[in-house]
Amino acid sequence: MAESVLIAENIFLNIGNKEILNGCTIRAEKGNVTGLLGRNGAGKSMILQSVFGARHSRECDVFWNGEKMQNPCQKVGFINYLPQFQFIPSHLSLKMVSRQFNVVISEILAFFPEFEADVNKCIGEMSGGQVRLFSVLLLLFAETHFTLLDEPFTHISPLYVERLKGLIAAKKEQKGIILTDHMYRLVLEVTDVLYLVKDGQTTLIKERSNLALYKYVNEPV
Amino acid sequence: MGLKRIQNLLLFYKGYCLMPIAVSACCAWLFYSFGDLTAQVFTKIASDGLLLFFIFSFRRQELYYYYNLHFTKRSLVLGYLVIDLLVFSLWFWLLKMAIWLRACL
Repeated sequence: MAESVLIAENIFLNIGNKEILNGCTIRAEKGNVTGLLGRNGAGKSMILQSVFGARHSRECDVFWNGEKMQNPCQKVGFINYLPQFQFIPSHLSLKMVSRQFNVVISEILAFFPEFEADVNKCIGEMSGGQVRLFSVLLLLFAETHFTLLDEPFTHISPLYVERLKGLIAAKKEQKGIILTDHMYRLVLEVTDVLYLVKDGQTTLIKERSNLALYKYVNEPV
Repeated sequence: MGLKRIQNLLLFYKGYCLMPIAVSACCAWLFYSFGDLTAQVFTKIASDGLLLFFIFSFRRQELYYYYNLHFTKRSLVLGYLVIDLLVFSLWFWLLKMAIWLRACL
């Protein structure tokens, strides 16, 4: 299996006068799911957006296998990013969206046959949860080296979440995955490497029980 | 630029095309009725500026779709303006042809 390592370091980000990120570093690689945990407003989404390259940060150095990436989101096949909100234009059909992302829709249907009847439907005709699930699947199935998922489990029903966890575990063999979600138990279940975002910095969590020491949770997990 | 990239740019334009197409049609009609091109060009530039401001301020979320297709803000704006210029020119040409046909008949 060819090695594929992404390192994002020196992530500094200000919004107005407020310093949000103060020199964060994260590392992700193919074969691993990297999780980001942190309180509301800690800057988890900002880290993902900075790594993706869609948010202009004061500084953010992204390296892929040691090579510096100037605009990660512009490099075809390198990275994709699921934002917290619905990002697929509502006038597009599932079929068309899949085609644009070079995703074979039958692969999605093999995992989630529930979408079979909706293939020709427009995004605007589907429920929020269905759109969310389809968005996560689309980006996981797209051929990129890394996928960044911001709250992939939110708005998705428990049965689908179980299958999604299985899919993430399968897809990590093909690509590096970085995800964040407030459903921290799910994050703990799927991740191999865990970072806590606190006070504008990232801390690598070696022992999960340390989450209580860092006051992310009350009881040790 | 690949065919797929052009298709994606057309899709972006299609999402917001009603107003620019209508403005282009009005400008072309006003030009052939009153003959002043300067005012029409300024109207077009102002309306495009307003629409792009609207997209980048209030429809920011959808832009992530295009960022995931490897477009940047700059490439989306440039693509939009080029397509809109073609549509603008097309209306002028269509009206010119209509006037010429009417004169022939």
